[in-house]
Amino acid sequence: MTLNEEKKSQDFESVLPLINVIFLLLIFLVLGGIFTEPELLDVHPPESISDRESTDEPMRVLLDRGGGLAYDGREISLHRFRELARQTIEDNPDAFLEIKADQNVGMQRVFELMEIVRESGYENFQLLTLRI
Amino acid sequence: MQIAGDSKKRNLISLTPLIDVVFILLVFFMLVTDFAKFSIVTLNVAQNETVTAISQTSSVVRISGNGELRFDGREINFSELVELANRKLAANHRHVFFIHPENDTLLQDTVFVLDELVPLAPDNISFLHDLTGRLR
Repeated sequence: MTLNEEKKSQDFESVLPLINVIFLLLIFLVLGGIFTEPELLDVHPPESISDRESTDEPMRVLLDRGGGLAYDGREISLHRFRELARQTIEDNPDAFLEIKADQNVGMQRVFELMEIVRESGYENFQLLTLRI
Repeated sequence: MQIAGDSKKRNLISLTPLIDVVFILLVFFMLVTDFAKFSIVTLNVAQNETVTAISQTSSVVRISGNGELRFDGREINFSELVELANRKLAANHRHVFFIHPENDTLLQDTVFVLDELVPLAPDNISFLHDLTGRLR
């Protein structure tokens, strides 16, 4: 083995731990994480000790810190949400709604939304929280 | 002679593209994965009643905009809430709790109160609110 070949072999061996660590990180991320779709509004849900998990695939309405609303992939007003929610209930009376509201949104806005949800015919809704 | 030949073959495989691809995969997974565990709080919105008077068998938990709590008008700290609620439930297991957040109360503060009361009396909790705001 020439000196040049010996140097190449040493270079190869020195990057092996790096590759091992990167592969371990990759496996950790693939197995431990959940793929999430980026959402229209920046919403940080409130923290809660509740450990109940959503079992259905409900329609999700987003309510951001400033009171902005997004439903079915579009930013909409409360009036428009009222129409869409009614339509959803007409099409599927068993529809379930999930509210993903920001932890810093004022309760006035939450109550307005709840009122519309109730008027639309939803009997129950889920408030999405972040498990502590 | 044979051993030297194997060593040469091994060196022919370049590691640089492999590391590049693995790094790209790593960055991709770091950006798209989320480790947050979500849970839900189920709320019933079927009833909408006007409350004219708070009876002896009910209590109002008022949450102010800055997160301060009042239990039946008395200012309390958060740790007292469960104790007071338990005392009311011991006297009457049908005791109803009205949670009354102010309009500027944060959702997080309301959820903290719900977290404390829901395990004690899941069916005896209602929201009190007045809709004075205008819809947009």
